[in-house]
Formats: sequence, structure tokens, C-alpha cells
Amino acid sequence: MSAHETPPPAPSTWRQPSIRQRVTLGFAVVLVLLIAVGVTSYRGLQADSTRLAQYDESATTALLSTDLERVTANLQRGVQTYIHTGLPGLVESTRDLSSALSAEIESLHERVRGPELRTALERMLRHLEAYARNFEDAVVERALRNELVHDRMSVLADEATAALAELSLRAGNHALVNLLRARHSAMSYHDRLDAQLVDEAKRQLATCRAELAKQQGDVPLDAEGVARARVAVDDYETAFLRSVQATRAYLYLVNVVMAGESAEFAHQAAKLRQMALAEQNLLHANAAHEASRLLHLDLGLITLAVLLGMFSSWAIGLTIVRPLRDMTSTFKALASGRADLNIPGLDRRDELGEMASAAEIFRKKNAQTEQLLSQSRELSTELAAKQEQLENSNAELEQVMYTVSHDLKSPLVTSLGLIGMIRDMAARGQMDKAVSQLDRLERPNRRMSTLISDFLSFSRVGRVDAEHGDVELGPLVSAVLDELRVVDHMNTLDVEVAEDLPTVRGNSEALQRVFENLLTNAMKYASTSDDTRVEIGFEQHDDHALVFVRDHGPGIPLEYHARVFELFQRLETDQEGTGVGLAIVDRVMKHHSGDVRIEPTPGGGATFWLRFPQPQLLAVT
Amino acid sequence: MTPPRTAQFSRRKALGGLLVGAASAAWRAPTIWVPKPTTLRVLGTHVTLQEELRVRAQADLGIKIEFSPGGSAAVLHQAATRPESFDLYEQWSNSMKVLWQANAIQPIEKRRLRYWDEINNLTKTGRVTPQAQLGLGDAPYRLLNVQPDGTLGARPSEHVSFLPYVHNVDSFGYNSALRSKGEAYKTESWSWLFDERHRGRVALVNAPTIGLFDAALAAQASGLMQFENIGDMTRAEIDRLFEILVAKKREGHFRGLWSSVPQSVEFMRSGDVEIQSMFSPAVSSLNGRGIDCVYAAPREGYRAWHGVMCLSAATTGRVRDAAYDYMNWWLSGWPGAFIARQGYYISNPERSREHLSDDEWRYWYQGRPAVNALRGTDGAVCVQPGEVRNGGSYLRRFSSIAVWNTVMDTYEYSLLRWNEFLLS
Repeated sequence: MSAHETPPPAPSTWRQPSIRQRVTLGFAVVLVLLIAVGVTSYRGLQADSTRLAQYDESATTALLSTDLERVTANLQRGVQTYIHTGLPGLVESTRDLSSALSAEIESLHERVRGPELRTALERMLRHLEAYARNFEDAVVERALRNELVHDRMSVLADEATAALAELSLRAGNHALVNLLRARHSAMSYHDRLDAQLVDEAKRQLATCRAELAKQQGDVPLDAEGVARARVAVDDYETAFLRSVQATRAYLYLVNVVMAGESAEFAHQAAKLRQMALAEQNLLHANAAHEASRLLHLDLGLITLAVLLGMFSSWAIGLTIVRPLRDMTSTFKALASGRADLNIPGLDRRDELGEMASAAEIFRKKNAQTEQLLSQSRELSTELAAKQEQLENSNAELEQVMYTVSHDLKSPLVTSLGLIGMIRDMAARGQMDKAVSQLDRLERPNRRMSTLISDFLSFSRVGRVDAEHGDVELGPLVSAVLDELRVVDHMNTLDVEVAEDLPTVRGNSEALQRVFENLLTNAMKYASTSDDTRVEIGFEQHDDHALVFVRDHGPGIPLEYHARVFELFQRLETDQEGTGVGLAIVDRVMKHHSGDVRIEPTPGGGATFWLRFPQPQLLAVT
Repeated sequence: MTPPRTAQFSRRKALGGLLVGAASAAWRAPTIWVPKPTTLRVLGTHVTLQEELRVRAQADLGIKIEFSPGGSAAVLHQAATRPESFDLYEQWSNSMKVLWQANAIQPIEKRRLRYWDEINNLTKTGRVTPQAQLGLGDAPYRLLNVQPDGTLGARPSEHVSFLPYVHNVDSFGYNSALRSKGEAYKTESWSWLFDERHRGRVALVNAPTIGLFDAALAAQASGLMQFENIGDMTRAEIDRLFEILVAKKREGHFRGLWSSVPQSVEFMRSGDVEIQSMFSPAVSSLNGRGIDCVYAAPREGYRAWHGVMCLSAATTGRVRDAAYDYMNWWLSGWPGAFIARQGYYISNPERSREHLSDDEWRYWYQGRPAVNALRGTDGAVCVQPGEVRNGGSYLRRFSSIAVWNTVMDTYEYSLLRWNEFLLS
């Protein structure tokens, strides 16, 4: 269906956006999507950059934490070596390592941002501080122990031994023996670290003191010497017990406290490294995930932009280009002068709608022009018809003038001849003869009168019988027949009239003359034949009725069928006539939008068919 | 048991004593002499050296009290080596051997201990009830009495080495969100510490006199070894035990060893640890933080500890008198009620009963459900209504002691192996 054939759509209440708005909207949407792609890409790159920095930081953290573990291992190794050797140089190197480790932790603490990492580092620092603090205590205790075990205890033991040895010369050696046993137990304790030996030494020293007291009671001794020995034994015990505590403290510090701190420190360092590695892995996974997500997002946005662009293009094509194309076709059609088309897009409220309104104005102009042309054509046709009619009338008039001149001239010449004869006769005094010629004179004059009368009748057709009404043909034919039967020879004819002749629309006087002429004509020729039947009937058709008048006379040769309806055309017969009757019939029928034609009657004769178009045919009666 | 009513210490009485002293001094000299208030220096741990107790004691006794709290090892070392640096020493019974051996403390006269007769049999005979299980190791009764030969023993004498006061039982705690609750004394077992399902999430206390027994109880309960006397291990037994521990550590069974109560709390709070050696305050702290840490009642029995208050060998005169006053104040009722709200027990519980509500007494000592929410010493709710103390009543808990915290003769040797365990 072409655009101009498309029925106009129903008017919409929706305010349709203009083409400019739609195009702008389409571009804006695509632009927004492209901006979104740009923004997401930019942000993705930013995030990647941040992640890269984080990854770098994490990698550095992992590296540094590994280094921390290495330094820690060195520290532990140094401490263990110190524990087993007691070399003083290891103390300084341990302190240096501890300080370096502390500085490294603090440096790392300033670098990292993650709270868990920072917490782990803070814990490491605390453990390291405790480790270092306890190491210092351990060094002190070890030094004290060494001083007690290797120096002071020996000195005190020697002093006590000397004091007791001096006394034992007089009071026996029980006290001294117990002191020596105690000294042995004490040395064994430091060698085997068996706490029972401490009790053993204490018991032996207690026995030593008891023996000393006992001997003092049994044998008078030097009070000063006894007191000196007693003090020496007590001092030795004190030194020994302090060495025991120093040993235990040292052992506890290095084996429990420091080892515990070291283990926890190592755990935190390992945890730090694991966290850094886990963070690295997480960052890596996040980066991969984000990259994939960004890629998908960008692809999605680009796809969406392309699809939206295509959709916009399609929508513009659908809503703009196609209507424009239709509008172009419409304008071309309008340019060719067509007005019988529907302007597409008249209901639109956009620029195309305005264009359609303009086209509608053109279409209306075209319609007006076409109407004017049509009217002009009609007028031309009418004018041509009028001209032809005028020409025919002129020709007819010419013919009539000629015929009338000729036909009127003939009786006039005859009359003038007769008048001359009569005058001659009268001049010769042949009055009777002259009078007798008057009868002859009457005949051409009567003919001329008839001629003039018929001519008048002919001329009146269409002028004085313009009023039309319903005419029942049955009564009209009967009335005509009644008038014609006045003539004698008519009564010998066998006239057959169909009973159900139709009612037609027309002028009854004119139609009466039609049937008068046809029946007169038929009767005239039927009377010359053996078959005197004259039939009047009809045929009913969908859009017209045919009424016929049929005779069985000599008929009319086919070459005269067209001419007999012309004015003053007569067959070369003996029958009288003016040659006006059939011309009247023809003219009346034409004035009734019908016609008359002749057909030979089978078996001889002529049949005149009168065609009445349907508008004139009111009913079949 | 209702304790006999005895004279209470009060600020008024103490001030009265001071006035008498002041009057006596004025008689000897023409000038007015105002004596300085006696200062009592107390060395110990945070378990008993709490500011509320110090303030209350000062108010009640009219003396100046200085608390020097510190870590267990540090204060023990200080006490053993410098007795002149303190007057009273508050720590655990497993420090007694060290202190006594070091001659750092002096015998305490029982006659000067006002509430001695109210002290229950846990520290006198080792059994809180006649049917109670006798704990191995340094059971306080074995270290309580000063023997004629100067050693410590179970046989009563006129002198004791320490004042029995605060005590409790320890075991392990586990996060019930990660291990379904067991049944006290039936399914809960020390062997859970070696349960493979907790691999990498187990911790012990970093103290050989304590953690070693947790490990030993776990090894024995797991069937990995048997001890002749778990409270007095031989070197061979220690070697075997550490073989097991080191192997497990190398398998990654242990998260680590904690050195302080806050650290043990952090271990479990952070999720690093699911089960570990624990002390009562850590369990309360975790419960207060919404972590349902269950303090187990092992079917093999608890590891028990007993607080000891020792008199410095260097303390004499009025300060020693003040020290006796302070020791008597501790058993006078209010302090026992105070530490009961922290889950600890006092050696003469009945005297502190009047300072506890019925609900508190029912929950803390009788092991019955709390009717109302109970508050701890910090004022925060630490027991919800309907809650029952795991392990039941005081008598039930102390009837099931496997071993006491102990300094064994193999202590020094165990320290060397402990190092190996820690750094393996």
C-alpha cells in the first residue's frame, strides 16, 4: 500500500516529541553510553593503578616480612649461641640485631596501611621489645650466676673451708665434711640442674652449722673463729642459693620467656608474610576479577551503545526517513497534480506534521484545480455538445429550410400554376372550368398546411412538452387507437395491444404523438398488406423497457432504417406523408433520454422499438 | 558452717592503736612525734593485687599499702632473690619450693592467724571432703607446714609457710561454636587438647609449672603415655612428653603458647584458637564479649592452683604486725566475697557468705543456677539468669583435682626442653 493509500491514523493525545528532540535524545543516549564507557574505563584504570600500588606495597611487605623472618632467625641463632657459649661478643651482636629488627618493623609499620598488618607489626614490636628486655635480664642473671658460681661461691667456699679447717683441728672435721659435701652438691646442681641437689646442699649446710654448734658445745672453741666459720658458711649458702635463683631465672628467661616471645614473634612474622601473600593473591584475584568485570561492562556498554545507535537509526528511519520518503512521494504526486490521496503524517505534531499540513494545502489546491479542470472539461464537453447540437440544428435547420422551401415551394408552384391556369381560364371566360380547377388548387394548399402543421409539431418537441409525469402507456395507446379508428380503413386492421403496457416517466402529449405517428405509419402500411395485424407490446429489462409497434406490411429496407427518422425523409412509396412523423418520434424519444430503432418484422413488415430508460420506468402495470 | 564471730578490723581500731603509740612516744620526749603510717609492700600478680582490694584494705586497716603487681616469673624471681624488696608476697603454691629454698620467706605463726581454724581442709589435708580425690604434685598441704628440720611438709606445726587464701581449679576452655558442648566430668577430657580436629587451633600456657601439666594430662588422657606420678615426673617421662609435644608442634597442631591472660583472650577472640589452656578471668572475658567459651570440667580432673601469701624473710617489727593484720583482713569475709565474684574461692568460704547475696552464693559456691543476672567486680553482668557454673559446686570441683601446679625437681630440665618445644 503506498503512502497516499494509507488511511490517516487516529489522532493521538500523546504529545509526540519533535524530530529534533528525538534525534537529540538518540544522540544524547548514545553519547551518555560512550561517556559511561569512558568513565568506567578511566575508573577501571584508576583502580588498576591503585591496585598496582597496593600490589607493589604488598609485595614489598612480603619481601620485608621475609627479611624480618631471616633477621629473626639470625637473632634466635645468636641468642642460642650465647646461651650455650656465653660469649660476650654475642650480646652486642644480639642487641644490634634486635635494634635493626625493631627499626625494620617500625619502617614497615609506616609503610603498610592494612589494620591487620599494622596490628601484627605492633604485636611483633611488643614481642621484640619483651624479647630484648628479657635478654638483658638474662644477660644480667647469667653474669651474676657466672660470678657467683665461678668466683664468689669458690671464694666463700674456700673461706668457709679454711675457717672450718682451722676449727676442725681441735673439734673434728664433721662440719667441714658437711661443708665439702654441700659444696659438692652445689657444684653438682650447676652441673646437672637437679633441684634435689639444692635441697641436699641446704641440708648438708644445715648439718654443717649444727655440727659446728654441737662441737662448740662439746669442745671449747674460739668463739670468734666459730662465728667467722658460721658467717662463712651462711655467706656460702646465700651465694649458692642466689646462684640457684640466678640459674633458674636465667633458664626461665631464655627458655620460657624469650623462647615464648621469639616463637610468637616468629609466628607473627610468618603471619605477616602470609597476610602479605594472601593480600597479594587477593589483589591479583581482585585485579583479574575487576579487569574481567570492566571488560564485560565496557563490552556491555559498547554493545548497548551500538544497539541503541542501531535502534536510534532504525527509529529515525522508521519515524523520520520513511515518513520523509512517503512525504516526498506525496509531494511528487501532488506536483503531478493528484489530489485523490491521503497526506501521511497529518496527525503528527512534529516537523513532519507541519510538512504534511503544507502538503495538505497543496492537495486541497490540487483538488480545487482538478475540480475546476473537471468543470472546465464538462463545460468543454457541454460546449462541444452544444456546438454539435448547434451544428446539427443548423444542418437540420438547413435541411428543414431546404426541405421546407422545397416542399413548400412545390405546392406553391402547383398553386401558382393552377392559379395561372384559373386566371387564364377566367380570362378566357371558362369560368366553370376555372372553378373546377379550384378544387385542384385546394389540395396543394392543404398539403402545404399539413406540412406546416407537422413542422410546427416537430418544432414544439422539447419546448412546449417539457413537463414530465407518470404516463400509463396502456390508456394512452388506447386513446390514440380510438382517435385513429375514426379513419375508415383503420377499422379493417387487426390491432393487438398488450394489456400490461408499462407506466413511464414522460410528457403524455409528446408520447401520444409518438404512438400516433408510429400507429399511423403501421396502419398505413399494414393496410397495404394481406396481413393487417398491428401489434403493440413490450419487453421488460433490468434498466429499461422496450415498447414495440409491429406491422406486417411491406417493411422498410435496411438502407432506410437510419434515414427514416430524419426530417422530411420519406420512402418512395405511394403513401402520403410529410416525412416529419418519424422525425418527431425520434426527437421525442431523445427528449425522454431514450431512442427509437427499426427492426424488420420476421415474415415481413417493420417493428419500431422504443427504449425507455429505467428512471422513466416507474412500475410494471 | 558458720564462722565464729571475731573482732573485725576497722579503721577506728587501727587509729586507736596509733594514738596509743603516739602518746607513748610523747612521754619519752618533749617534742610531739607523729609516727608515719606503716607502709606494707605487697608483691604479687594482678590476680589478687587489685586496686579495689588495696583501697578497701587501707581503709579497714589504717595502714598504707603498696601493691607491686607483675608477671609470675618476674615477681617470683624478685621474691626469691630480693626478700628485702617486699613484705608480703602473693602468688601460687608452686612458688613455695623456690621461695623456701631461697630462704626468701619466713615462717608464719599460726597463732597470729585469726581465722586459721576456719580454713578448710583443702590446704590442711589436701581433701576438701573426705571422699575428695587427692591431687598430685605440689598440693598445698604438702608445702604448708614448717617442719622441725626447716623443710616444708604435711605434718602440722606451729608455723606455716604461707597463708592459704585464694584458690581455684583450671582446665582448658573451648569455643562451643566450634565444638559442641561436652558433659562435665563425663565427656569433657584433657585429650581434647590433642584432638586432631583442632589442629592448628590449639594453645597452651607458656609456663612450664602449669602448661607442662596441661600437656601431660592431655598426653595421658589421649593414651599417648602414662606417668608414674604426673606431679613428679622423671626426666625420662619429660623426654617422652616433649617428644610428643615437639612432634605435634611440627605437625602444626599448636597455634602457639600464650604468656598472659589478655593474650589467651585474643587467641580465642581472633579465631586463631579453638581450644586452649585457660584461666578463669579469660573465660569470663570471652563470655562477656559474646563468645561462648566453655571452661571444661575434665573427667580426668582439674589442674588446681592455690594462692599463697608469704611473709618476707626480711620483714620485721611493726611492718610484720601490719602484714599479719593484712593476712587476717584477707580472711575476714569481704575480700573473699570480692574475689568470689571473679570466680575464685577463699579458704574460709563461710565468712564471705554474709557478703554475698543468696543468689551469688548459690551460683559461685553451690554450683546451682543463678536466679538473677550476676555482676562481676567490674559491675558488668558476667552470669546470666539460669546459668550454671560448669563443674558444679565448690566441693564438687575441688573433689576432682588431678594435679596441682608444681615446681618439680626436674623443673630446670623441663625448662631446657620447653625451649626446644617452643622453638621447634
